[in-house]
Amino acid sequence: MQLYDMTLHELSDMLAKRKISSKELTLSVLDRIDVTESRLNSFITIDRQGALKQAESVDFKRSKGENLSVLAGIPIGLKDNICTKGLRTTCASKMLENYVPPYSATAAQKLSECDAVIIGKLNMDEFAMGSSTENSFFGVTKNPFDVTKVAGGSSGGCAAAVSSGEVIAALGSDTGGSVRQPASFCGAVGLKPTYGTVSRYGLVAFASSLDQIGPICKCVRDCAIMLSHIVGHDKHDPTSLNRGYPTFSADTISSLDGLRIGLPTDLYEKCTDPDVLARFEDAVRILEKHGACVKHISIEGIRFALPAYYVISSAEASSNLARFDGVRYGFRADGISGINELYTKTRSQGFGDECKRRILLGTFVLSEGYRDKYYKKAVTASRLLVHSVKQQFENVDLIATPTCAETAFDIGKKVSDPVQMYHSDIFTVLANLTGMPAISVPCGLDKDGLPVGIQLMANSFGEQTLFDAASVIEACVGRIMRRCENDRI
Amino acid sequence: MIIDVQKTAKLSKLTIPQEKAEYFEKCMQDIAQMLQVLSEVGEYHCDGDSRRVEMREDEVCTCEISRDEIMRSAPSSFKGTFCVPKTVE
Repeated sequence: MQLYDMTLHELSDMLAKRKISSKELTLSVLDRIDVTESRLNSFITIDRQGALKQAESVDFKRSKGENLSVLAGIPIGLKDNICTKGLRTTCASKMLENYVPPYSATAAQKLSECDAVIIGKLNMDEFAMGSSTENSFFGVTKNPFDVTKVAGGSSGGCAAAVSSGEVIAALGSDTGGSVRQPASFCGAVGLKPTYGTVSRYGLVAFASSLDQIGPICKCVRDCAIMLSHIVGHDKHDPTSLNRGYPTFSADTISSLDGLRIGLPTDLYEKCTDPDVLARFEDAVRILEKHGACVKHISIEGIRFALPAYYVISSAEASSNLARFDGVRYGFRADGISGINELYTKTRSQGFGDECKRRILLGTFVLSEGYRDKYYKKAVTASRLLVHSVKQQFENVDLIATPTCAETAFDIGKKVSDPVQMYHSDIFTVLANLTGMPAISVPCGLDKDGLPVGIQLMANSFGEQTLFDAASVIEACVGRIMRRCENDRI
Repeated sequence: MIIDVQKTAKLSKLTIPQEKAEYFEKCMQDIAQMLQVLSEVGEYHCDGDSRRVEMREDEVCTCEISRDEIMRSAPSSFKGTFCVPKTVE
């Protein structure tokens, strides 16, 4: 197996035992990028020089006998809405095409302090608005399993890069499923942590009450390692929770005796793809075989989840994106004669269609005469869902659904039909609305060889329970990898 | 529910070009249709905040980023200030 296809924990072990150097590993990944990137378009910015310099620094520290982090020397990618000081951060938008932040996000800074090697910035849907990475100013990211299919979104670049070996692990952001859905489409593991556990400082805001940075990795254990290194209170983020966190683990456990799994049948019956349903049910049976008890549940108000999500997220987005006006940073339109023209022309030329749609929707639902009808109802629905899900967690430990109702779809199929695209999030938005953690782990392939993911959701701060159950599924299903003997990329 | 796209665009400081107006109107109507189910949401009373945010201490923080670093990103600047077209019309 090539170095770029190995997991983070395997490579960390090899680095610690000096079987390989970080420079060797980084070169392996960069060579892989040279082979695959023209076909995948996972990256917006590749920092070869910076990455090799970091790798050499790690090797030097290791040669001096310094005690290094488990992440030291590991090539990692960051979604391009996570600020990196001195390294372009575009949010996949013309609006920030040449923006170089003067500071790093706390999560990025934590990885750097652990001596992780930042390979570059990964492609995404513009300002994290989308479910396919087709809304990027820098072009579509393709799925490594089939380059005619989408990689998912909005963290599609992260998922494609991890799955193809262009990075060993990545950090994405999840507002309505943007880590979990692309992970599911690309055969990776993706986690959205409990809201407030990972600092949002330096994450370009989309919907501030829903956004969370989360890892996309090759296996559950890697996700646990990444999460352990990015959680924690941050004074720069007022929504960051001030509490202690354990070191998360994903040791394969033999028994899930006593674990109660809830299946919200009125939700997952919306899954119309028979292959997805079949793989999901196989995964549920794996959990049952290991001692978990499965029961059908009904979540009151679940039919409001998707519309409530789109109202709340769009409302917050319309406010958060108001800062992009051509004054302090980013793109400014030419030929401006007055201040209003500056704002309007800059924003009209700088944003793509999906961004504009979300801003329009957000402005509309907050406007006079419609705020009560839409925004207030959406917030009420959200609170109802928090209450009803918390009630369910008095009787179950995890809620299981497919991550998506389908596998990766054809590029271009849904990009012109926003409502059809929005339905990609039907299973994932609940975790964001409630602030609870959720993980997507591969549970098999469909008849066309495309990955299927199962989503497990836990009560707040239940990440370890997610890792325990996900590890069991992964141990039985095995790592989903591209068919290397017939590598389509 | 008919969404006045041009009026909403003006509020959003956006313009929708004529050739895309019909497409945007259709998209917005489809989205509004999807949101109709929210009219069924009844009054819901809950005890306290469902998702409580911890308030930080009300203390003044110093900015760790220098003015020069911030100004470097500005499209147009002059002696530490942002330059914009005239604001009085």
